[in-house]
Amino acid sequence: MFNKLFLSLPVEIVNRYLAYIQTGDFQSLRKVNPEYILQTAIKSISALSLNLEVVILQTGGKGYGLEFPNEVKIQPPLHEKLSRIPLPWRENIFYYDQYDLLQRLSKGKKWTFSEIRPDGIVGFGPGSNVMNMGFGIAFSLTLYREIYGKGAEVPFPSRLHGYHTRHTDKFQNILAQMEIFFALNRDKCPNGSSFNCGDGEPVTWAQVWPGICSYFGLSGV
Amino acid sequence: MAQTGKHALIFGASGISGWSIMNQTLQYPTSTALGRVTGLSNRPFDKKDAFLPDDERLRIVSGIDLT
Repeated sequence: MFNKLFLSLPVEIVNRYLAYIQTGDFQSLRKVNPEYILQTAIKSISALSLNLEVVILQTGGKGYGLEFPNEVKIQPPLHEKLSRIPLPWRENIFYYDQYDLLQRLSKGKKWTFSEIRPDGIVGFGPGSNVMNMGFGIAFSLTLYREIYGKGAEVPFPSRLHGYHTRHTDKFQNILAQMEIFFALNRDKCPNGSSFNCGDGEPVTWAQVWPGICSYFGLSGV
Repeated sequence: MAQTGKHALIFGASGISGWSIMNQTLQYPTSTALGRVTGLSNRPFDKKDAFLPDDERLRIVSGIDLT
C-alpha cells in the first residue's frame, strides 16, 4: 500500500530533526535556535520545493519545565495536553518559539507539522558533543578502574534526588521510527499535533548505575 | 540514484537522533518506503563517517550552517 503511494508522486517529506545549539544562557539559546535555524531551514526548503509535505520538529522535556524543578510544579504524568509552564520561566523555553514559528509558517500552506517530545535518548552517534553523557561516563569510569582497580566502589557522581528521579529514556530507533511514522501518516496527525515518545517504563539512575559500573568491572553504589 | 518517491531531509544528521533517522528511513516501515534520504549537518561529516549501509538513496551534505 505504501509503495504504491510513494511511487506515484515525487513528493517531499521533511523530517526536521531539531538541530540544537547549546549556548551559555537561556536568552541567547532562545534566540539562536528558533529564530535563525528553524526559520532559515523552513524558508529555504519552501523556496526550493513546492511539494513539501510535512515537517517533524523534535523537542523534548524542557517544555514540561524539567529545567526548573524547584520553581515549576512538575506533576507526572507529563502528558501532551498540559499547559505551557508559567511566566517568567516560560520565556526561557525555545521549544515554544519553534512550535509557534511552525504554526505561523504553515498557515495557508500545503505542508503540516507535528512535534515529538522525547526525554533521554539512548543509542549510537557517529560523533560526539557536549550532550553525550555516555562518553563522559565511559571516560571517567575507565580512569576510575585504572586508578582504584577492579571491584572498587564508585559513588554516583551527582545528587541523591537525581539518583532516584524517574525519567523516560528511549532507544534512538524507537524515536526515529515514531518520527517516520508521523511523517508518513499525516491523516492520523493533525497540523500542530504533539506527541511524547517513550519506550517502556520510566527508569532511574539507581536502576542503571550498578549495571553501567559492572561493565567496567566496578561496583556502583 | 532513485529520483522517485518521497524524500526525507534530515537536519542535524550527525547527532544521536538524526543519525538514527537516516538509518531507519532506509529500512522502516519497509526497505523501499523512501526514495531519497538526505542528511544535513553543520560539522564535517560524510558517508564514510556515518557507518551506514552503502545505499544509493542516501546522501550526506555537511557544512550546512543555518545560523
